Amino acid sequence: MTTATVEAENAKEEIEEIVSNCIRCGMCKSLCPVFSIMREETVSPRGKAIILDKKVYDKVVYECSLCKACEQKCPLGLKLCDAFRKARKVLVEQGKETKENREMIKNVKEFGNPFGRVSGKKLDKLYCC
Amino acid sequence: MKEKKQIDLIAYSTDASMIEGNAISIIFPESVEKIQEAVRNFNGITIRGGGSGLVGGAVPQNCVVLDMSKMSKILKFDLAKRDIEVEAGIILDELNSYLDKHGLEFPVNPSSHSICTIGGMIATNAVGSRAIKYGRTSDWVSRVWVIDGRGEVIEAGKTEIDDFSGLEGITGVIFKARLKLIPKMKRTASLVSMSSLSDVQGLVMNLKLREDVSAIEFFDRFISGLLNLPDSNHLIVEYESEEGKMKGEDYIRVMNLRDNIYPTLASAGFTHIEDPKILIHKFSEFAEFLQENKIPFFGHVGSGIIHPVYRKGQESLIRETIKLTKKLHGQVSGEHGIGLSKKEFLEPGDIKIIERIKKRRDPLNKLNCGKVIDLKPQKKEEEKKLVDAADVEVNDGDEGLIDFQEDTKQGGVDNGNTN
Repeated sequence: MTTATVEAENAKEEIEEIVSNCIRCGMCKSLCPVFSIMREETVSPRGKAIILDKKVYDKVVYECSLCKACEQKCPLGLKLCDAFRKARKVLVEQGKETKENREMIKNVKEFGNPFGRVSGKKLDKLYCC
Repeated sequence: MKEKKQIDLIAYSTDASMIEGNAISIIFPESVEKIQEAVRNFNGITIRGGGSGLVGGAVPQNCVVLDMSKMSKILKFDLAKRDIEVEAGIILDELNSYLDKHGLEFPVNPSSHSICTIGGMIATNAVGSRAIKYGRTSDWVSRVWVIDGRGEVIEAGKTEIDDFSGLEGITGVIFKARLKLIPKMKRTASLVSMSSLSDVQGLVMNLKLREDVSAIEFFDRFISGLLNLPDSNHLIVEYESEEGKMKGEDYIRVMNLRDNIYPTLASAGFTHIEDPKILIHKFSEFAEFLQENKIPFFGHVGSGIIHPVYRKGQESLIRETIKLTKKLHGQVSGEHGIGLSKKEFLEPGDIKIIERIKKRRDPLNKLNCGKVIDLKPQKKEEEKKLVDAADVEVNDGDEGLIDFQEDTKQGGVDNGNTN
């Protein structure tokens, strides 16, 4: 197993620990900026938690601003944004991240910035997935 | 219409009840025509608002889900007449936030106000904490627009609203409503500790006589402990005057405390909630039973709605509680509705009434089938017509169809709503 694979497996366990405690009350929806625009359960924090609880890792976790507003509203204080961020790590490991994310990683590696237009200092190690 | 995606089906398979179901397709209508198209083309349709229900009302059972969330516009507003026309998918807090600018509000206030939709509130005839002063949602709805089971638009005035309000979507898809409003009230609250349950009962009876009291919420010792409050029963009394000690931010904080009681209990393992409604002078007798059996409870005690909560495996205690509710001449469901989980507790009289309305408004049993009531199987020729119609979005022929036979096997003839 590569380090990345081990990290992805650990991430899965950590995600499970968070989403399995979700009681589906839906209070997280009330502050979620993505849900307020899209108005679809699938992109709401509750929807994503239900999907991850079924161990389905889908690009929908990128439809999140990682603002943590849902965590403010969650009566259990679940770290939902952490779970979504970790799910992105799993997708990257599985090669299932979004095209945009793949492009961004490539640009950071190549140009030192996510846009790929202006040359910057090349990083030794990539910290962001 | 949006294409069927596997992850959508997973996300829409449950609601706040945590009951698991199975969606076969999700539709997000943004016009009346789209709703009509869905009703005409599909056999089994589950209507969904905020998904905040606790009895599985929005849980699909091999049905197409009609998510009304995108129909959320404010259509007409008359400040002078204090009424407003809205689409059904508007969330209560969104509506009140708009009205706030005009010094008005919609007075019914369920604890899910930040996510529940007006359509869902009408369909369940939601109650909430201010029932002692403002009653139920239907008291504040002057007109609803509905798509019935034939796909026809119905405009229902005051006399016909009862065919839809409180019937949990089994008679029609509510897509628009005209609501009555009140001037925005300045509210305060007090938190009262009381160790004796009979003292609670006495105080509640006295408080109900006051015109400025808009809500009386109770929670017991166990819940007080979970909320880091002193070891005692507590009442939150909401006033529409300066009488309450908590004002401004303190008022908001104490009301948020009340909104979070059930989620806090659920996180402590009490995932099953009931909503019996009892007469206030029977409160202490009912409460003593709950206390003796170590069942935590809270509720809108002012309007007699109590929420006992249970852990998994406490079914016999639930039955005992319902038995006592009936013995004390109370109602089994005061506000959550019947949905999937309470069908067995309906009274035969309620069953007959609701069955009659259902057959009039949705004779082919397309809408929220399996909820509240279970109708007998359709005749073969009617089924064939439905099979022919259900071919638009669902790929595999039978996928779009409800298994009426299976539904009947599960529950027999049963229906109604005690709201």
